[in-house]
Amino acid sequence: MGLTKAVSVGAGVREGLSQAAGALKASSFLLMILGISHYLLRIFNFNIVLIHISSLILFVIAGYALASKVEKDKAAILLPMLFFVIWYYAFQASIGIPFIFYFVGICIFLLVLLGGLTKGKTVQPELYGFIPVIFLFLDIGLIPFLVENLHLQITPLVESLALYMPWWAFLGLMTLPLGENKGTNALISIARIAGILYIVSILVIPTIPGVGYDDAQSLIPEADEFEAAQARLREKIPKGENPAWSNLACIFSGRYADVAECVKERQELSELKDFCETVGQIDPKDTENFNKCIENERTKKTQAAFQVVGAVDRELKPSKFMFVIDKDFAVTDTFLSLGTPQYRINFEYENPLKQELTAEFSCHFTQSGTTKVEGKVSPATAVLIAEKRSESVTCEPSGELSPGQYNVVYTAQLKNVKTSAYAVRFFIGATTYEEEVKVINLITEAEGANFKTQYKESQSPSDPVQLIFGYGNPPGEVVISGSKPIEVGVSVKNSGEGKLTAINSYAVTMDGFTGDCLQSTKRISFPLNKTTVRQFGLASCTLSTYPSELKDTFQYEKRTYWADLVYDYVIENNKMSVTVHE
Amino acid sequence: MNKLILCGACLVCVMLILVGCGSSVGEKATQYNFKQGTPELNVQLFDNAPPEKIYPKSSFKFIVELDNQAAYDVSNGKLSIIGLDTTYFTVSPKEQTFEPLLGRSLTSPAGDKIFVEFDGESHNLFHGSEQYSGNFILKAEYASTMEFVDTVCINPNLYDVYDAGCAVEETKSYSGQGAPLTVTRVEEIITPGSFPEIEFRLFLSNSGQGNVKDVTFMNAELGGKRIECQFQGSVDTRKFTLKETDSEIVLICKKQIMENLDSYMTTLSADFAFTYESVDQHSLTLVK
Repeated sequence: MGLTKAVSVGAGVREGLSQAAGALKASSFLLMILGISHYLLRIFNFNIVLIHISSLILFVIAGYALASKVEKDKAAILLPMLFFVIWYYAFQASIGIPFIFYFVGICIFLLVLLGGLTKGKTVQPELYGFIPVIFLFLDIGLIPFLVENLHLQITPLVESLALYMPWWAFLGLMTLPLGENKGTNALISIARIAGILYIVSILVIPTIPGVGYDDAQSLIPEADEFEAAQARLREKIPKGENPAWSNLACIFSGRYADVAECVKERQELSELKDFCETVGQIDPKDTENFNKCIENERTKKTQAAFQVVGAVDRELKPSKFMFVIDKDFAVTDTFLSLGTPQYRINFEYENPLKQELTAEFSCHFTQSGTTKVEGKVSPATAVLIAEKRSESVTCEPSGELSPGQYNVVYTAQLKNVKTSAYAVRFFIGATTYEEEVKVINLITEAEGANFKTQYKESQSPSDPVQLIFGYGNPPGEVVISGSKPIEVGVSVKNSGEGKLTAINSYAVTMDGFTGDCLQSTKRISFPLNKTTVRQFGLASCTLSTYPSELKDTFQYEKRTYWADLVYDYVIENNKMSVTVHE
Repeated sequence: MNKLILCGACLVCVMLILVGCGSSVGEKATQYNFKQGTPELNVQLFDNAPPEKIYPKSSFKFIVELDNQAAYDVSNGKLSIIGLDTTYFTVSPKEQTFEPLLGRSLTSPAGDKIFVEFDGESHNLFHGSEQYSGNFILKAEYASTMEFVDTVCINPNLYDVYDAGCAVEETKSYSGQGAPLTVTRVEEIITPGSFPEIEFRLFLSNSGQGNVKDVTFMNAELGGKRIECQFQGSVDTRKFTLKETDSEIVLICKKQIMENLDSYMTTLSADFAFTYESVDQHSLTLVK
C-alpha cells in the first residue's frame, strides 16, 4: 500500500517536473516571440513607455527562462535581478559614494552568504541572474548611450548592434531547452545556428577601430536617457539595408569572393535609395528619375565635398538650443471649467558668439501623434542676444480642446544661426622630393609626429550644425605642395536633435585665393519631412589661383583658414504630456 | 711681547709658504684645455621674451640669446623663426644673420654671447575660442671649425721584436675636441713591407644637440708634414654632406713611412670645417 502510494507520489512529482520543464521551455519560447515583437516595436518607433514596459516584462521572463538552465535553487537566479531592480528603480541608479559601496557590499555579502549556506549550490543560478541585467542594459540602449557620453566613434559595428540586434529574442533562442522530440530539437538547433549566423552576419562587415576612451565617466543614467540616446542614434544613422540581409543576398547572388565589397555596395545603394525617396522626394516607381537621382548622389560622393572630414574642438564653446520642461512648475492637469488652459515650457539657449538670432515659436496639441488642435504661443518670436539665457514660452489651444490626454508640441524655428570652423594646412612650396622630406621633418619637429592626423580634419564647436571643410590635394591632405592644384570641399553635418531647414550662406575666408566654391549666398532649403538630412556635400572646386608666398615658401608656412555657415534650424519638444479635464 | 711678535712672524711665514704652494688663477686658465668635450653654440629664448601668455592684437619681442660655449669661432650665422601660423602671430623679420662669435679660449674664456631680437605681433583668436597655442621652430645655422690633435706611435718595422720604443695603439677613443662635431676614435693601421705605409682612420660623428649638415676636411699633418686624406663613401673627397641616415663618417689618411726606422712618437693633427644647425621647438600661447 505504502509502496503504491510512493510510486504514485513519484509519478506525480515526475509529471510536475515535466510540466515545469514544459513551462520553462514555453518561457524561453515566449521570450523569443515577445522579443521579436518588442524588436518590431522599437524598429517602428512605438511609444517609448510601451517599449519600456515591454523591456521590463521581458526581463522577468528572461529570468524565468534562465531558471531552466539550473537544476537546483532556481529561485536564487532572482536575487541579482532583484538587487538590480532595487538599485535601478528604488535608488534611481545612484552611484554616489559611499552609497554604492554599502549597496554593492550588502549585495555581495548576501550572495556569498546564500552561497555558503547552500554549500555553493546557488553560485551558478546567482551568476545566471546577471544575464537578464546585462541584456536589459543592452536592449534599452547601452551602446548608443556610450556613443554619446564616452564619444565612441559610431563604427559600423556599433551601428549594427544598435539598430539590428533583437537582444531578447536572441536570449530566448539561446535558452530554449532541448526536449525528447528529435524533430523539435533539430528545429531548435537550426534556429540557434541561424541566430548565431545572424550575429556573425551583422558583425562580419565592421571592424573595431582602436579608439581610446580615456574620458569615460562613471555614470549610469535613467532608462529614459538610454532610450533617448538610442532614438537619437537611430535618427543619426542613415537608414541602410539590414547587414544580415545584405550578407545573405551577396552570398546567394554568388559573390563569394568579395562579400565585404558586395555588402558595402548594397548598403550604399540602400542609403542612396532612402535619400532619393525621402529627401529628394522622388517616387521609386518613377524609375528614370529615381535612378538618375541615385547616380547623381553617387557621383557627388566621389567629389571633394564628400572627402572632407570634421571634428569637434571641445575648447570652443558650442551654441545650444533646447526646450526644457520645468518639472517643478509644469502644469500637467488643467480644467476647462477654469478657463483656457495654458502650458509653459522653457526655451534655453547658449549663444557664445552673442550673435543676434531670432527664434519663432509655435505649438500644437497632438493625440497619438496626430495634430488635434493648433496652439497659440506667447511670445511668438524672441531675439536671442544673450550669451546664455532661458526664455519662458506659453502655449494655449487656439481652438476647442475636448477633455483627454494630449501632448503639447513646441517648435522653435531659429533663423540665421552662425557656425564656424577652421582648418590648418602646411604650405611647402614647389620643392624636390628630397627637400620635401626635409621640410616635412621640420614640420614634424615643430608639430609632432602625428601632425598629419591632427590637422586632417577641420575643427568646429559642437554646434547643432557643423561646417566641415578641407583644402589641399586631396582636401584632407595637410601638406600642400606648390606644384599641385588645391581642391576645396565643403560639407555640412547636422549633429543636433533638430532639423536643418535651410542654408542661407557660407564663406571660406581664404584671402588671396580664387575659387568658385569659396562662398555662396544662395539659399538652399530642405523639406521638413520625416527623415532629417544629416550630412551632405555643399560645394567643391579647384582653386584657380593662390598667393605666391605660399607657392614659394621659406621652409614652410602654416596657415589656418576659417569658414562660416549661416543656417536656419528647427527644434521641437513633444514630451509635455497633459491631461485636460472638464 | 717678543714671543708674541715671534709667533706672529711665524704664522705669517707659514701662510706665505702655504699660499706660495698653490697656483694662481691665471696659471689655471693657461693650463685649461678648452678643446675638450662637446660644447656648442647655445641658442635659447630669453626669459619672458616672448611672454608666456600673449593677448590678441598686441606686440611682443622674441629675444634669442646666443652663447658660444664651443672652443671654436662661429661664423656665417643665421637665425630664423619658422612655423608660426600667421593667422594668429606674425614675426618680423623671419630670418636674420648674426655676427661672428668667438669661441672659448685663453683670451676669451667665457666665449662670446649676443642677443638677437625679432618683433612679434598677435592677431585675433578664432570665434568663441578661449586660447590658442601654436608651436614654432627656432633654427640657428652657422659654420664652425674643429681641430683634432693627438700623439701617436709610429712603428715602421713591425717585425722587429727588439724595438724598445713605443707601442702602437690600434684603436684610440676620444670624448670630444670642444665642438659638437667630434673625432670619436682613430684606428691606426701599418702596412709593413719594402714601402711601408701608415693609414689612419678618423671616425667623426655629431655629438651635439643639433645636426651637422656637412663636414669639409681642411688639412692634416703627421709630425708636421702634410698627410693626404679623403672621406670614405663621398664623391667629393674633401667634403661630406650628411644624410639623415649617416651617424658616422670616416676620413682615411695615408702616408708612406721610412723603412728600417725604430718606433717613435709623433703628432697627428687634422682640421675640419663644418656647417651646423640647431632646431628647437617652442610654443606661443594666445589668450583672450
